[in-house]
Amino acid sequence: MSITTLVILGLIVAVPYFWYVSIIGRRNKALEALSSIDVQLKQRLDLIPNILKIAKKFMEHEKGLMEEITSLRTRAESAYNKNDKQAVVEHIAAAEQLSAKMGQLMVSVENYPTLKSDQTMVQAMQTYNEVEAQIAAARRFYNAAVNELNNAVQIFPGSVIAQMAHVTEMPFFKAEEAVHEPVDAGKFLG
Amino acid sequence: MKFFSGDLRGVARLLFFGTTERLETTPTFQDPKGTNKPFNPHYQRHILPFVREFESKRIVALQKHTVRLRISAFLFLAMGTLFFLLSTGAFPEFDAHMQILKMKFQEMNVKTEGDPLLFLIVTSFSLLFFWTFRPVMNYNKAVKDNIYPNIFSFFGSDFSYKAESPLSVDSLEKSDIIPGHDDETSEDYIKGRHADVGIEMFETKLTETSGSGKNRRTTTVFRGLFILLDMNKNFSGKTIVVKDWGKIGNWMNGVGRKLEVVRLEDPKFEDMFEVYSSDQVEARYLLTTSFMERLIGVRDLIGSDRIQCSFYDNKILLMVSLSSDRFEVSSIYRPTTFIDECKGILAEMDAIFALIDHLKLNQKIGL
Repeated sequence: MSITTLVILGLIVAVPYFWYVSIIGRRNKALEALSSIDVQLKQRLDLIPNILKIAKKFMEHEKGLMEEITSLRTRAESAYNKNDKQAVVEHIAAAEQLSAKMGQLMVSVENYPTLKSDQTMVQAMQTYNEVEAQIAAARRFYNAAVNELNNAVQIFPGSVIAQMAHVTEMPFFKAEEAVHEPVDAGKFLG
Repeated sequence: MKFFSGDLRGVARLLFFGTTERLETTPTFQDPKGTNKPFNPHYQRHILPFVREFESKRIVALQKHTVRLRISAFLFLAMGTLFFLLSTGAFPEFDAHMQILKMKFQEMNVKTEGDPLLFLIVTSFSLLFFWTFRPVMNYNKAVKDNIYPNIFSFFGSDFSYKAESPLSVDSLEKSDIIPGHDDETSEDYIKGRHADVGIEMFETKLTETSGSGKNRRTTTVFRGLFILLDMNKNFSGKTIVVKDWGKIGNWMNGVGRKLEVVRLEDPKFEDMFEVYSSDQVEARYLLTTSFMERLIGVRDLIGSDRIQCSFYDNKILLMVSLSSDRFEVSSIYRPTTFIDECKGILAEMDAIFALIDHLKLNQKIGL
């Protein structure tokens, strides 16, 4: 067998193999990024009971909202399969819904001056905002990793290798629909 | 420290006429219209009392400088004429002595750049130049040591200035953005707080020597400011933002780094900079979309398009490349008022404060 033939055979074996390695590497990176988000989401979940406890003392009219948050928190806490695309989508959706409701709560706090100036509430909100900033960063990392994975999985011949290796696309961490709607200032100003 | 401000007219006037402009009237500082915090009261109280004293010192320094200038001019002309005559072979027997001198240098292992006579003349001229401007250097140092701290106290009691920097570039090696260098010249160290943000900065020049013998070259690898600021976020890793050198340049720049490349969303930012970090999430926590925009805008504030930064130890280190020296004493050949120095420092510090405000380092927000 000539050297040229050996080199060609070597390339035929090596190129798909390294392509496969690259796809697996990107999938693992996306999973790692998803774990990073979960770490921050867990921190947020741990903060919420304390915030609700402080808020309950002052915000009697927001009982409905707080109950909603408690129920969403329970849903967001539940375990899920990271390799199941639908499960990831539902997990992300739950996290975003919780984020939206907490956002509503933070806005409502503005209507209660006593609560707004309460030192424990101020500290709790500052910590919450820090965690939200970390979640935003983790979300950007996740989306960047998923973008690379999805490109590798969708573009030929990577799509063939991905199919053979049972590697599928992952969902992006999209903002809750409410965030995309135009803000109605009247709602807030009354 | 610069010892020659480039005021050739002042030098010529001194050399040929032995005169210089003198302080005639009591100076006043004119604040620009609409200034929030006028500098003139501070000038009247903390700077003006020293003007007459330093004007006298300036005259004394110029008297010494004049004598040395005239001696140097004479020696320069004499040596220049002698060298010209020798190089045209006017004294052939002198060549033999030069050959002996060359052999002596070789025995002593002294490397000379070609002709030993030229080496002697160049060395002599350099020493003469230094000796001539020594009084100017001493005067400038006195101004920096005694007047500059009074100027900087305008910004707050926690502001301090030192002509010689106690902080060296080596102490910033941990930032991972310091270019390789063989020599460092640092000066103009400033420390203080603005809007509750700690500031430490100094001016530096880094040089690298390459080659040997006739091919020995010293190049400046960096000249500008290092500005160390408190960061408004807590973080534990390291993230660096360096100039984008293109695909191959970035690859070479990344070799040996223990940090990972971070790809960010802002295309303009990605075109200008390359980001490396020990933590992908933390890098995005620090470099939010709005912070990236602000970092791009820093160029316009500082007047430099070569900025790199490093986030480490809960601080941000900005490395700003500049084409000229900052915080320099104005020409010794003009009357002492310190107004130019005050204006220069006010402008420089305004730019630094604008930088802190622009980057919102004083605000604890997630943006």
